[in-house]
Amino acid sequence: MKSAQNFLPDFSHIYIEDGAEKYPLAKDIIKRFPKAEKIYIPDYKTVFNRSGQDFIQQKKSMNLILAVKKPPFLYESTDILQDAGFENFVYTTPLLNCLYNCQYCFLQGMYPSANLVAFANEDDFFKAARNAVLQRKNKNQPLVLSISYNTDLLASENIIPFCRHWIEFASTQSDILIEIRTKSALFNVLKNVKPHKNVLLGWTLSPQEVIEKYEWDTPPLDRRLNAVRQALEKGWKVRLCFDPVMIIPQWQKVYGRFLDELFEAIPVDQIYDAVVGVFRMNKDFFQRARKREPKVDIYYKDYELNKSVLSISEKVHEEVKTFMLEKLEQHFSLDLIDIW
Amino acid sequence: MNHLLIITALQSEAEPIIKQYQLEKKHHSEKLFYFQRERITCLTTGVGEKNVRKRLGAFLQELACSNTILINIGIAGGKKDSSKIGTMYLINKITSDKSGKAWLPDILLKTGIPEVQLTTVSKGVTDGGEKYKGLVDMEAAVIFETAVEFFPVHCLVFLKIVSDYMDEVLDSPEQVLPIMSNNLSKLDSIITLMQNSEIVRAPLLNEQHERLLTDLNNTLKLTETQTHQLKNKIEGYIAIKDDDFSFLSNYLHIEINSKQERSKIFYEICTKLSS
Repeated sequence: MKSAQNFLPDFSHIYIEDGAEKYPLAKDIIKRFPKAEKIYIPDYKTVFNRSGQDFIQQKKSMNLILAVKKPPFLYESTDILQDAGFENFVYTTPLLNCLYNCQYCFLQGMYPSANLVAFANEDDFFKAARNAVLQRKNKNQPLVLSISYNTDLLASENIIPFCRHWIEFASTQSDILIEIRTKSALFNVLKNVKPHKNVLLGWTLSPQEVIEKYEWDTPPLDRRLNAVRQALEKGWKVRLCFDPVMIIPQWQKVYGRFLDELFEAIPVDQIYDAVVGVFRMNKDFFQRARKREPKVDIYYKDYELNKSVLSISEKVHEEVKTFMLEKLEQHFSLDLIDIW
Repeated sequence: MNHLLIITALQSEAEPIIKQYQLEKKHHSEKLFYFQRERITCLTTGVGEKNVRKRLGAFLQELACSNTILINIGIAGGKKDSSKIGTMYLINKITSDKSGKAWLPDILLKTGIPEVQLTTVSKGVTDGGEKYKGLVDMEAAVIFETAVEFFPVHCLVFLKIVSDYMDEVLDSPEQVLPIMSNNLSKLDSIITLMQNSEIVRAPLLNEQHERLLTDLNNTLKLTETQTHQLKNKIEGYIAIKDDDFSFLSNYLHIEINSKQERSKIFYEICTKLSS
């Protein structure tokens, strides 16, 4: 967690890939950090993929890399991504890495660097999204596009206004639904943005015990709930994500109390849908993450390996499904609950 | 406290540091010597790529680098309009003039030293250096290239003091010593910062743990897979509980005579570590 003294504040250095600076988004970001050291690089990988980086130390002083994304701009769904039953599901990565530091997240072992990479050529992403809408397989369903997959986009909105730009884009399109999944309490950054039916804000919620133990540098539960309430009041579509349900001591009791309190605290009838998942991580990412931060207990539990993905045992997985379904069914119809 | 390895190209760059920290001369080999006291080591490589590769490479091969921070300090040519003679700069990008390759130190700590980029050249520059951005020296790129094989990038620190505006060759001790001496207090504050920072992380298993693990492997004649599993279990035990697994020492006196005995004891240890 961020407590180290003598470390520089985040974004003390901005690395700028050749060709990135001309984009309006890059100019906007650079303007927000007038005191940052600007270092020009031929390719973002020169700094992002350097050998010998220490992910954990970099997390204490993250820097920003501005780059130009090359194709592909959209990716097909993976086995560990939740598509909530939508067939035309794709994701995109306008930002690599995250301001938060959740210990169960695959980002702990995915990239060689903890620095953030922001791709400045937004129009290329939008063009690819427009094409994907036209080419989607099931024309009876919209293209569902997750834009906050390898990051928490809303958490970074004060620095990089990706959410606003994507919402503006989605508002001009038909047959698209973009999902912005977040743990952020920063809803205020969207207060002047008009809600649109093509945009789904998904809040990942966990018991405070889980937040404190594993979701490092994230807002506490009450602030997330406040953001959920504000979003609902403004008329946004809101999804609740219980992902991952962490198997901590007495997890049923902890999650049972958490869900009871949660549904007291928000107008549940206004929630769009709910998704549930359990801990899962690509085996290679898991091993790298454990090497980087070996003091986290997640990395010493017994998991089952299936198609290169480590997850809790099938038996416990079923227990989670049964428990969560029973709790959620009290508030949602079955078709609004997606359990991974 | 972290160990600092200070690298200079010229002996005159090292002299004020050796004096300040009362470093003692030691021999790495017949032809390679260095200076050291407690947690500070100083090595002079000589000027240019060839010397650095030969001496630094040989030195690092035998240095336990795990809790070391390398600081390269020395004089450099600067630009009249963007640098000041006698001022110390922290280097945030090093470009090799020869290969065009860029090296990027990871600057994570607050040093308060102004930052600039640097180009490493093969020959001294005396024409004003118009074509170069930032400072110019003759070793940093090859020091980085050599050292990055041994250190994480955030443990490589490059400090350069501007000695001239690239209009003269300035390397005599009479010229270098005062430039270095005038910056000793700044260097000292950086040394203090680096020595006491949390920038170098201790490994989960300390030397004592590793020794016990090795002894257990030898006594119990564990297979490679069992060794790996045992290390995994011990790490988990430390991560989740605490670092006192001295109860495992009891197993150092057991005699193993068969695979079955080994498996039984191994299972017993794993159960204790998992409980």
